[in-house]
Amino acid sequence: MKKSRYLISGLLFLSIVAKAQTDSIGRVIDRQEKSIQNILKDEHRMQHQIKDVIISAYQEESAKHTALSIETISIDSLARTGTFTLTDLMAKTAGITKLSTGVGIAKPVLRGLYGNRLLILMNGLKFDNQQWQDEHGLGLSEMGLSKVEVVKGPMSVLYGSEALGGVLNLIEENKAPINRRLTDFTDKMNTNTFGGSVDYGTRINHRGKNWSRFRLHIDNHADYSDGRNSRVLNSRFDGYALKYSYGFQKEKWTSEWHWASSFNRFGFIFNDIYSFVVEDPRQSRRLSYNPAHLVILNMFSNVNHWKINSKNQFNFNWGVQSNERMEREGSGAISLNMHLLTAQYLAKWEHRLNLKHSLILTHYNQMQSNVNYGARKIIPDARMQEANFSLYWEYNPKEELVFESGISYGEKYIQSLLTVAVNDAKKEIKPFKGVHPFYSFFSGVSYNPTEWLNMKLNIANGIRVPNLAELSSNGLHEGIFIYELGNPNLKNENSIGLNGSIGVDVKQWNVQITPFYTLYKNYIYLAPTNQTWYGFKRYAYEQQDAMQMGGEFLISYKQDNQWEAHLQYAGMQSKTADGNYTPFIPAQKFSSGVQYSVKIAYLPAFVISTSVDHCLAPQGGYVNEILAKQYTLWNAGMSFVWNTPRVNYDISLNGNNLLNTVYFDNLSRFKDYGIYEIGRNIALRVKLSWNQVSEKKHVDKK
Amino acid sequence: MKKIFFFVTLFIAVILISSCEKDAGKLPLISFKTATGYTAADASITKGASIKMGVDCEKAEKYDVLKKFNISKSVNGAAAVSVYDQDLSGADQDKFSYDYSITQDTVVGRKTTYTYTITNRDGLVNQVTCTLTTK
Repeated sequence: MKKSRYLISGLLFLSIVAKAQTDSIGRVIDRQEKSIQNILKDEHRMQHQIKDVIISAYQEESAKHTALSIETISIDSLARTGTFTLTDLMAKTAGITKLSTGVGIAKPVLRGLYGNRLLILMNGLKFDNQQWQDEHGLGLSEMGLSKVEVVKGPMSVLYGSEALGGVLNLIEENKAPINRRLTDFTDKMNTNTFGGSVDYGTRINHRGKNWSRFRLHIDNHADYSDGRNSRVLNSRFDGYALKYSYGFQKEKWTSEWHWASSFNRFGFIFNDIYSFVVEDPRQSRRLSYNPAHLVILNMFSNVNHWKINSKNQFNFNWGVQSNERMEREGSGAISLNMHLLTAQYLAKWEHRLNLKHSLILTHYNQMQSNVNYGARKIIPDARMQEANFSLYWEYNPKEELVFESGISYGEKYIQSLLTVAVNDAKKEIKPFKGVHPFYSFFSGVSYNPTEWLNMKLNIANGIRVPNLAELSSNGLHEGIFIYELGNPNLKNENSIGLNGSIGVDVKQWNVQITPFYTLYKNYIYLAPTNQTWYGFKRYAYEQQDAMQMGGEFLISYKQDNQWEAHLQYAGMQSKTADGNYTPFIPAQKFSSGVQYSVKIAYLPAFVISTSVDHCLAPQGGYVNEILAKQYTLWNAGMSFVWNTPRVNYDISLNGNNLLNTVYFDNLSRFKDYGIYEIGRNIALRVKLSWNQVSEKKHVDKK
Repeated sequence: MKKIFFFVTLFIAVILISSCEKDAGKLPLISFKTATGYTAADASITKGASIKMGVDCEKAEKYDVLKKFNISKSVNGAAAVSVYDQDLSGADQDKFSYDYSITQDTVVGRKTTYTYTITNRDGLVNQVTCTLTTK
């Protein structure tokens, strides 16, 4: 009841704001009408230019002019496809899958690597959501993001530890065009979960001197149903989030300040949950008693750019993140309560030596503190500090050829503090402290012999200092009830990998091939032992060398901006030196789709699409790992985009898993409990956006 | 600049509000049965004799859940070996009793230590031990 009140109040607030926006538009619309089409064209052109620039590379440049294997995921277009989380949305891209614990809890997996092996960036800084445990989801929605840049392959030179398998760089939406206010309201509804989300945002730009952005997002879902139409009790989730940004420009200095705050609750399912959770009404959202994970996230960051002169640029990003994770897993009260506080900065100086040579110097520093507040503890209180220095060189001997090389040195200090029941006198692992030094390098080439061909190859090493769980776990893992034992003597996990990319763009055809081959030294994994701890199975962190290889393939065809068709494939293999498969490896996946667009003057643009995803059965799995069977999902959808002088309408209707296939993915943690993935879901998304003059007097002056 | 100051102040305020007190947790309760017929303390037992030990376990807090009961045995200080395990469910998760019958071994002077362990869902354990010496 309390929840419903919050939801109704939120919707009421949003509708009042939306109404106010509409009235405001009405007042200024006469002045606007003549100029609005030109402004929209300018904005579109500006966004198109920005889209082509890759931010995740060592410096901002076109994707063809970096040796990194980079792909861009456009958030707004994929958000039409009926996704529940940001991870869902990213998993539409070849090479990205998700490790899921139901619909609400999911973390991205890039080429089989996830958690602390995959770096998530927000506003140019590392995002840490206590990703060391499999059931800790990413916990972010697509709210306020414009795109995600996916760097396939290590990037430890720039970001140090954890950028081992790649980087997912979450890019915030652009500021509004000068003297414009952009406002949007999006409502999403899903038939399967009887829930959806609302999102409201407004951006304003005052004469290009300063700008701001406000965004509010609410998610609310009941339990999902699988392909047998059976309800998966307690898979519900909800969340509330807001973002505020403020930016200004003063001559050579541009500064942006970002604040993001969220509170998410995820119903949690584990092996014996159905022995005590009582079924409640089908559309219940109650999360106040049933097992749940609660996450409070506050992020503050400041992104600065100084263009000193034509040869020198300086960037300085800093931020603080507070992440409080509370878990209630069957005892009716919060038992695990951990607070991770992170402060960090990244300084980058770019110096152009001449037309052919550039140098970049970077320094990254991060300080973290982890504190347990709950009765249940698995990792100790700890303090950590990481620093990384890098030197990077870019050489452009010709317009079509780019060489890039970089080296870095870093170290991470970890100190575990005395924590009762984890590392006290009775326990095997005592408090420890130590410094883990590391080196990394990157070298690559990008070659564009013709307009239609791009070839890239890079060799790089990635580094990961063992995380706190791997070094110091000493407790019962909730939910799965195994006793996990860390090892303070673990060595750094090192990778060295070859990443290639061939892109062919001929007339209507586009082909992308991105193979990879990576060797790991001291790959860390959790292995069963033949010991028990008071009757619970005991697992210990171990390490040995490993190998991963695979790649992605995409072919697409576009005709007259009407027909589009694509076929993509992703597959990989991952084994440790003893010949065993590593756990949770994505199965080979084929995806194909066709899209037809119609645009007749004065009528809404209409798009109809259909796609088929086919996942093969995995070739093998880790010791005692349950393996998924092959499955096929059929999806279809349609959307209308209608731009009027006052409001833009973007309405889409999508059906996912239309055949109600009963399946589980190989990366679903629910496969151990015999719980299937979500069945048929029809999603309706309505997005309204307004574009209006923000400051009348300045327009008049013009 | 005022906006930025407001930003930083608000952020610090939120961090402080979200911090909280530490909960050390209460260990689940366990004790030997002391009624007639039960052995409830260290004792010397005639070789080959049969005895009975019993324990009562109970959750210590309203929302606590007892998860597992275990008995292990250690001979002359050697590593303990698990001799009995039980996953607890239903009413046993609130309160649980168990009787364990032992036939004392036949090696005179041997000291056998029995450890009774109760674990709750949070992984907090409590134990009672009893050493029986064969005479």
